[in-house]
Amino acid sequence: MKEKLYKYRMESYQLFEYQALEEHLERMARRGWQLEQVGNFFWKYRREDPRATSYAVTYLPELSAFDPEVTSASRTLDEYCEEAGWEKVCDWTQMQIYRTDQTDPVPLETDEAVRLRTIRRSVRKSYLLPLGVLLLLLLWILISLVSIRGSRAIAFLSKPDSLFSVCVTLLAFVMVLVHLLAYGVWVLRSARSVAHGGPCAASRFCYRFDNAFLVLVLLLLAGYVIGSFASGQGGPAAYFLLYASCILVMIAALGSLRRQLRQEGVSRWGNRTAVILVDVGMALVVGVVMSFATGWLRQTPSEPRQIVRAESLASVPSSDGWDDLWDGSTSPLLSFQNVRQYEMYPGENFLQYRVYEPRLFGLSSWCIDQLLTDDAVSWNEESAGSLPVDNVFYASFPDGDERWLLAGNQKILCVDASWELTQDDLAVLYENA
Amino acid sequence: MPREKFQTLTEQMFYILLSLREERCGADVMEEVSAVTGGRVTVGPGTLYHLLDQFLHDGMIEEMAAVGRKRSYRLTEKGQRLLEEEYGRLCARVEDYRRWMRKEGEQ
Repeated sequence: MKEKLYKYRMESYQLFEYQALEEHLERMARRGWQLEQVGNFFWKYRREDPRATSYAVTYLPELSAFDPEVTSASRTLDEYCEEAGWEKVCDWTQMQIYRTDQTDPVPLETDEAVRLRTIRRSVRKSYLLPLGVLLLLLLWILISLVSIRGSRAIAFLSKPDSLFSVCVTLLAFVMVLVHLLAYGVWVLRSARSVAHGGPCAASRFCYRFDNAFLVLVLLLLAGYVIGSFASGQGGPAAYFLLYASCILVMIAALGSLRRQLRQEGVSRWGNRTAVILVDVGMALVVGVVMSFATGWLRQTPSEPRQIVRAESLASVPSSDGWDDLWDGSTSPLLSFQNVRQYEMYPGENFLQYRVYEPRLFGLSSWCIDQLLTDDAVSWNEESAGSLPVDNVFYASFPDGDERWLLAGNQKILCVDASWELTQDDLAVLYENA
Repeated sequence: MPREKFQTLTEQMFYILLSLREERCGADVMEEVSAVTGGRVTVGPGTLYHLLDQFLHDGMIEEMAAVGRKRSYRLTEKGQRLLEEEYGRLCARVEDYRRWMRKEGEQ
């Protein structure tokens, strides 16, 4: 069988985890894989004879990811490294990766205080700033999600795509926070060690954490997609997959463009401008594609589970007929359906009921609290009487409309009607909705 | 806490500055330091690059005319003063050691 010449691996090392990276690259070389290029998602290795190769990295903090591949600084550094027997492999933002087959090479860095200072300068520019901005953005999204109140909050929990997006946002927030904390700990440990004449601290925490995190996200994604399609509500999942694919294609295309322009020696400003312009153009195209996709992917199922017809209620005013609208959703946390029925003629009456079925212990009382604080409605607690529920709340509106909230064992019903409903009507609605 | 910048010189800094009392390019500096110290002190290329960059930025050394792509450097007066201060510190340390040993010998 013909052996493959290249291998692509997803490497989740962070910029400051240089020892772990050097050890990994040396291990790969002993297995016969030499690093060739660092890509957007994957690192490319070329097959060669297995041998003991030393890998070492250093940093050029003044460089940007948009700088030409060869700059005056990188050329000077490469010359010094060549003199010491090191061959440049590639770079990864400010990190410059070298290798040598010498048995006892001069280390690239021989002053740990200088190394620590250089890494800190590099990380501050290309790691801390983007992560800090991302952390604030994710925090803002989470705060805005947590601050949703009332029936909107309950409806939110009933949607698998909403729950999935919350989980992903929360996980991303945790990941960014852990990275920042891990870096802070690394700096403290390294500074302490260097002050006592030791080397910078070794760390492979983020590498391990990111691998575990990736597995978790993939499991979550698989659960969401399979669950959504299995329940016949695959539209939002398909929408998400399409959107995620578009983003990945965008990242890959922009990365290729940036790399191409770097190879051609385009200036930092020129490269950045070109990438931003193409980015904006692609974002517009993705926006158009997704707006078309919204129509045919994000639709809710057209058939309700079961509708309690307004005509089936004893107290319903006589009319020529009723029209209805339905929407609903089901998540692992709760099921929700909203039915609105309108009198066709003369069109004065309506009946709307919402059914909430929490599937998690303790969620029921939270749902009741949310509904009771909804829309600044002034509720009165009523006796349950013959109704098969634990709690009954009633509110009336100045225009004669009334609202009932019936809460029983794992089922909550909220009814709005333009006429006075009887206890029998409420019992029919609660039992059959 | 890490050593404050140029408050005292590390061995690497000291020998790089010392070797730049004569105009040299980076590669020659690495060679010279190793030769002068009999291989006891080696300056890695990464460290050399960063220290030359810092020294240049702080006016301890100056860039001389580049030959081809090679850039060479030479110590400035400011750099010389820093080198002398460090030499003074080292001498004081040696003298302290000698005095201590003499005192122990007399006791």
